[in-house]
Amino acid sequence: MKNVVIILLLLIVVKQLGAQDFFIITNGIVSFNETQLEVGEAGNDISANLRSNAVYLSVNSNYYWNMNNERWRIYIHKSDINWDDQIQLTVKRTGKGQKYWGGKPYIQGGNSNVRINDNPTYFFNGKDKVLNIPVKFRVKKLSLTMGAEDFETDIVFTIYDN
Amino acid sequence: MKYRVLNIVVLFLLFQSLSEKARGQWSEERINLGISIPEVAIIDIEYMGSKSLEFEVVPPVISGGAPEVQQTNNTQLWINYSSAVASWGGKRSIVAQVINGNLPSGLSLFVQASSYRGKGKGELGSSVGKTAISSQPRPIVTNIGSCYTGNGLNNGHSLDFSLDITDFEKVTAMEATEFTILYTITDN
Repeated sequence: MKNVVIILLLLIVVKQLGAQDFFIITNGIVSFNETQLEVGEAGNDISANLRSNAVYLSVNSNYYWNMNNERWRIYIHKSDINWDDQIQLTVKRTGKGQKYWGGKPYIQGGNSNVRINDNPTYFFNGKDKVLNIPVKFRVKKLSLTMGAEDFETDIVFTIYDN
Repeated sequence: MKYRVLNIVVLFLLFQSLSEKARGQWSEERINLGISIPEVAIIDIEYMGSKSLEFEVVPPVISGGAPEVQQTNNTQLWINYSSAVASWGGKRSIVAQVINGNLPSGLSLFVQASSYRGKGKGELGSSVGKTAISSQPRPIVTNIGSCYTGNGLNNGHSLDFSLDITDFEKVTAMEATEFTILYTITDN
């Protein structure tokens, strides 16, 4: 009976550790200033180098307390709805956000443009719960030769516990 | 016996929890991203020298001969265009017509667009060949899809004009006549 109680306690501890799993919450809608899609003079292609507004990622966990030693890493890829492979899509982290319990957040990487492909690419990593990490997208190589079209893709952020 | 079963169950749960932890956890979040290329149809004329063409009907040098029409200024005209059509849309054409004036009687003006040349890309148009221009719009370049010709001289289609005497009886001496040719890129 004593053994069973010890094992049950162990089980609770392990479950509690398992409950530290991180997840991401996004806040905001990606939008581009499409007045930047200018041809200028007849004969020219679109001079497209579009930058989005910032959308915000928060890394959170079901675990309530500080998780200073708990690390995570975020990967990014796209899942196309209607897209043209010539279009170059990149993302960049433009800030560090705020630490959930206050203080300076620990985040590394992602502050230069990362190309978004169909396969997951490493974006950045960090520790603990962090709120409102701003990221911006950039679109290049749009061309009139693609035709008048609505292009759409889902950006997928995947967070892994380290 | 009862404790042994309980032990096995608890150990199984413990093993499963540990293996989950060892496997590492992950989760996904999605955000939608969309961008639109609008319909585009713009055209302009690039030129070297003058944008105006000047012709003169020269009397015959020998009596009984036919008068000749000569272009008196040297100019080079190129049509540049940019176009984006929807995938379900058709092609476009460039039409030319005379506005703001009339051709003198007995004379016909012809224009011929060259084949495409330049630094553009996409579904560029094709020349219709030598076409008479009147007050009604007539296509001079057709089958334009989503494309751009490149900007400036030597990009797009160069234009060659000729003014022919088609009915000598109607040709009369007159002051200089001016008229304008309008080029429009249009959906078919």
